Amino acid sequence: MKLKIFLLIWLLFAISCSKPKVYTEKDIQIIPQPVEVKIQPDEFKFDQNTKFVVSNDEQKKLASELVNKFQKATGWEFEMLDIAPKNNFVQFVNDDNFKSEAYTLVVTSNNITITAGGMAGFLYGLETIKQLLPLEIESSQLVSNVDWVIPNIEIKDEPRFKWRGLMLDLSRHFFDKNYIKKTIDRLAMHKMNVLHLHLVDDQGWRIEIKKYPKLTEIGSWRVDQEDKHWNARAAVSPDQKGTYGGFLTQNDLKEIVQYAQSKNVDVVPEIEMPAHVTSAIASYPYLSCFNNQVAVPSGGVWPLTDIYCAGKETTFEFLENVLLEVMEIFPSKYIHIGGDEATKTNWKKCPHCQKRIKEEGLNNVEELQSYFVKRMERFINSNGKKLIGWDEILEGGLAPDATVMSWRGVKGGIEAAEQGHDVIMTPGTHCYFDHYQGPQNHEPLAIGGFTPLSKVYQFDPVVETMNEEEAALES
Amino acid sequence: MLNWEDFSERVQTMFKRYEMLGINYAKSSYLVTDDTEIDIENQKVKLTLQNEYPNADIRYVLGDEDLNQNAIKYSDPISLNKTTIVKASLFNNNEPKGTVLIDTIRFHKAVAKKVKYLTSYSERYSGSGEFNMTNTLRGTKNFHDGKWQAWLNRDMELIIDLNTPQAIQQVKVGSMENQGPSIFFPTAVIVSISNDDETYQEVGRIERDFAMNSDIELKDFTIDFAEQDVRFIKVKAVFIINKTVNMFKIKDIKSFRLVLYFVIPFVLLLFIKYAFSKSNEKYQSLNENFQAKEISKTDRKENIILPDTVDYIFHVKPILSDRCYSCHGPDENVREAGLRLDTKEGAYAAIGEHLDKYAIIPGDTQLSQLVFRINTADEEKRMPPVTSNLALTQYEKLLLTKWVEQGAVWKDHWAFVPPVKKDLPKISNPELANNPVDYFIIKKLEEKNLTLSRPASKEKLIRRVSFDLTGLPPTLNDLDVFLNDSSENAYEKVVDRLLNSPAYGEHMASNWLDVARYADTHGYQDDLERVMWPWRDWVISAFNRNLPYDQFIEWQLAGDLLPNATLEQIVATGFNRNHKITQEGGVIDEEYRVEYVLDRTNTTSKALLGLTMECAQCHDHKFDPISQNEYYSFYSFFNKVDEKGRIEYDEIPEPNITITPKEIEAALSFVHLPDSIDQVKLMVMKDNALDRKTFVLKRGAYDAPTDEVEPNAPNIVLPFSEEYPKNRLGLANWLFDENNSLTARVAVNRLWQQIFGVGIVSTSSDFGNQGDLPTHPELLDWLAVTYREEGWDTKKILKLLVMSSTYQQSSKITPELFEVDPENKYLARSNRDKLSAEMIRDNALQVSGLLVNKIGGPSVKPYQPEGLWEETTSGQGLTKYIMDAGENLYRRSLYTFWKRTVPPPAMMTFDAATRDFCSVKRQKTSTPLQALVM
Repeated sequence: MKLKIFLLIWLLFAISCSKPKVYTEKDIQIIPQPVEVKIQPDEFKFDQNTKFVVSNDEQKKLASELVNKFQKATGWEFEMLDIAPKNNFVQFVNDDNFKSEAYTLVVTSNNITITAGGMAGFLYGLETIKQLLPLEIESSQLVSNVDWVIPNIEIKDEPRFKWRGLMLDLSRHFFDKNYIKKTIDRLAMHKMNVLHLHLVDDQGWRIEIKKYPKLTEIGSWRVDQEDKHWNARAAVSPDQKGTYGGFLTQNDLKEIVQYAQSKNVDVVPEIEMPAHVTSAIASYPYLSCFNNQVAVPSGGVWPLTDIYCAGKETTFEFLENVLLEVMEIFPSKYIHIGGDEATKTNWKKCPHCQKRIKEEGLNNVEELQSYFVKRMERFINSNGKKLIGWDEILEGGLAPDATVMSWRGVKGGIEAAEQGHDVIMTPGTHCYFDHYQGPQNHEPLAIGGFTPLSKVYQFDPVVETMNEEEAALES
Repeated sequence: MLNWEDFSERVQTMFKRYEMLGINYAKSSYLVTDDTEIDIENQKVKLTLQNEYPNADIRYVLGDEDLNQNAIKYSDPISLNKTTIVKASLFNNNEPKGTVLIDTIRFHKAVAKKVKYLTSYSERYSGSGEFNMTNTLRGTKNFHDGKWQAWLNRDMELIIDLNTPQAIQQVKVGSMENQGPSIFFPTAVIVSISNDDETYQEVGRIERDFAMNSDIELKDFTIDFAEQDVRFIKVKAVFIINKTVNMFKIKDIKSFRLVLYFVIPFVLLLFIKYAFSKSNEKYQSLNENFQAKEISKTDRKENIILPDTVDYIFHVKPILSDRCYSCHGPDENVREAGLRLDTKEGAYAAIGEHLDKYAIIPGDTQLSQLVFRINTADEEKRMPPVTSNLALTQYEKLLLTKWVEQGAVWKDHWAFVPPVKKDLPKISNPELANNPVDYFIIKKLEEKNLTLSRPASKEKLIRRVSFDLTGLPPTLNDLDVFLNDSSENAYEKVVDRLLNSPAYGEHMASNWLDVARYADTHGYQDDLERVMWPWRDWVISAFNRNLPYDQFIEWQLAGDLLPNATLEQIVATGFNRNHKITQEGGVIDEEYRVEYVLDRTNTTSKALLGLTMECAQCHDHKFDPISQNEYYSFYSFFNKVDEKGRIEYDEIPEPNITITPKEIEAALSFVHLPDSIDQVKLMVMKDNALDRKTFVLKRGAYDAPTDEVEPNAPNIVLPFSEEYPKNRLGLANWLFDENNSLTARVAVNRLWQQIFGVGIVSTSSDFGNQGDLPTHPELLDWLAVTYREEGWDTKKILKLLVMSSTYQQSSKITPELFEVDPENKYLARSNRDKLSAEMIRDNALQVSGLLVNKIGGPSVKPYQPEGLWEETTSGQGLTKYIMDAGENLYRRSLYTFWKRTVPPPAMMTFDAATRDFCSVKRQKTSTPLQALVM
């Protein structure tokens, strides 16, 4: 008996003495870079007997994504258990002390533990596991000869910014529901949490509004000149039929919102005003100062003089009705109202606008824009939401609780932050991806500019005097 | 906190993840970019290569080297002091990754010369400062690249001081247009010169109207002038838009929020190009081109030499045909952008959505889209597209550009223009010429500073001519007679004797059997025996009787349709029944019947017209102007035969005629029917299905008829005259119409090929756009017209060829000659040629005294290795090769039994044709198997 025990001990000793693999920092290639990484010798090995330990349906749902990926790549079907076995498992541990998107990931040869305060943390922990695994985990078919190991490691991670967003300009280029859902997957893969949908612009209205059906009957379609550079597209007249475009129905959008929630992505709608709205005016000419019938332009328009009338009460009635339907669809705390690039020549001439200026005791059309935005903010706030606008909303006085997206460089961001507002940094110089990304002679057609990957990477949203808390980032 | 070096490694792992996920990410970060810096003092350019990734493995080659083979790892800036092409790429695991950077660093006479700015450039767009205009470096389409100098709201005016007077004939000003951010080409560029910097004389200007331009475009304004020695060059560029100002407001050329707000009237970069030294060589048809090409290959690093005059047929079309026709050619269904480059109308037509652009504007390299598209560095725009794998070489680009510059003169494809007999060219030593053939050959040799070689020895000459005319070596007696004959016409006597010997007809027939795809079996799987040898007997007899070529062909194509057709004329139509016929069970009858008609169509086109019409069976021809519709119109000539697709075993396909000794005695004395055989049945042509309609077959499929067509011939060759009957006889008339541009040329070319080894058009089966050009076009035409004028007298033409001094030369080759003309295109010596498979065997039989001189009759089965037929038959019919005995073992090779699926193996080893389809030219190979056969 004694001999047997001795033998057993010796054997165990011999096994544990076989040299464990040592990993280095080079082996850990995670984007975005986790806050803290400690690498230990040896590794955890997945095999067909690995189990997932979950304590609720939400965790089960999260885990199943990775389980499915394993199934595709290996054919293994991991079992999900309530209680941890002895070894060879991945466990979710809930700890309410964690910040909402923070997590820790502890990998030992025995098991893997993700600790987080909720769904977002677990999601990001799983994403990190995926990036630690061999690339073949992304394979859609069975692969062989892959060691499904990840190094023993301790990762503590939390995001530096609360707002890590991507804007899709659906107006200038329409993307359908499926593409948007795919985009949401990719956002989650990069631990990003905001999808900002630019639903309205001159060249297309992309959201179904039940009360105003012409917005999508007329405003969603433009004459197809997609083969030409944006700024080389000819002017069109209202009687030419638009064939390029499309829109998302309210059901589509609800589906997108729901899908995004499962990936910790907040979908923020942008309903442009008072400029960048030719598509709306083409649908309802009364929204402009002089009721002009205009067409949805095929490409670039400058300057933007076809803007909403800030004098007529009917404009605000229209916008409030639109926003009511929008807020019904999007649970997001934020509503983006654009507010950029309004050329106010019509306001200077329009009797309604001039009357408004006089009545409200404003000094000029810039202050009329400020009045416009502040009035919309009051309406948005009264519905329990917060307003975001492009940095032009600073002009003529910022609305009290507005968040500013700084697109014309970083100056607007700094100014708004100094005034104590939240700021999202989106400078065109670094965050606009319709630029050339490489030497222009070799690149497909772009709007212009030159923004290579290194330049994007090297942008730090916390510029100059700004505090960490004031900044967020969106591309 | 931000560490690009670290991130760039992580992101590359991420890229691999994207690849696994099928995400299409931008590969831009793999691009290598180059930056150049000029060392003004030493006039050297320092070229830096870089990539976004730190420590990137960048490799490069200079000049002509291959990046896959000889790449040099880049570490330090490369120093250059002459015009050089640089290719560079990022490497990963020793493989190039991403797009290859190709840039040409150009040197010119103004490199590093001082520039005096009369109007100053914008401080925001100052390029590299005071030497920017003469630093050899080109700007990119990115106006922020630091290489552009810009003039905001003012003209550019500057003076280049070359220090000492230098010979200058060209000034180039590089500029960019990008109207989005208000960057415009100048509307005028004016160049003036001076030697004292005081009085300037204008030598050239380019003026243009402002034009809307939606692209970002780079353009060189080139001012050429008579070469002169100058020291100071003043360059002025002006931008005026006058009336167009309004248009701008209306058109709202601005942008949405991304564009920076500034106005630049235009941005300008200037550089001066080396004046090419004037070449003294004059343009002389295609051979100039060959030579220029060869030189350019070896010499490209230094300079590309272009012909003085770029000729459409000889220089331009071969490029268009190879690289452009597949998308811009005759085939309407795949034509891109509505551009058709194979016709004059198409090439000069307005294109583009608004029909406001032209591929070719004669003389205007600036506005010709073709020039722009082939030369642009923008891969999205460059033609041919990268995806087509059809890149143009630098030489070809320059050639096309120069052609446009010289006025883009169009010529119709040479072979579709009827031949014209020109006067014999003047040569300096007419005493060298024996006959007209020599004049053309010697003329070309003189142009190349070459002469004919000395005559071959009599021994060699008689051997050569005996083989070429009869396929047999001379006998010892023939040799002795010739050697001892010192008369002036001794050689002519030999030629006459050979042309009159029966062996001549056998040899000529031997060649024709390849064309006619003659065989003694039906082919396909079962491959049972058929009787076609009486037709072969007729061919031999026709050659020996010197039946004129027009009748020789007319009888074979349409003998049965001739008025009061003789039995002999009907026998000749066996030509079009030599195709394969299937006996396999279960096949679809109609499918195979269609196959046979296709075969006749293709054979006629290839053998008589030198056209690859078969390409138009499934779609419009990609290279030649032959539509699918025309193909089936041609096909319909052969589609009136009441025949079966599949025949039974032992069935003799209809229509056929019976030949017995009675017929032979009456009309077919050339048929050598052995006494042991009472009668034979011979397949012939007969239009006994006159009601059958012909349809265009979609994708060439027998069961996909579309439009009905009537008999017709390809219009491009010659419109089919109303006067001709719409049947095979009409087709024969059409072929021998004086204006048919191909028939005579194709025929004499094949005779030339027989005698000289290679045709004047080396692709004897293709005279179309993809075929080779004639080496001696005037000679080909002279011979073609002569052949017709002389009543299609084949023996006469052959005699002309073999009597020429050109033919009688020695084949001895000197190293110098080999260097100048390795392929012997110019014929400064006689060709050394291989004997054909038949000649090799016949030679052996003859010299060993075994050859049986007996003409015609059924095929014979001489020795062949045992077991071959057994190995390769389907178990039906001819399963065993039973060797003949007696004299049948030693007959001439053209009589050897030809089983299509197992042709005589020794003959195949020596490149005999398979006889599955028409063949007008045999391969010439050297393999060890040949030694084993011997």
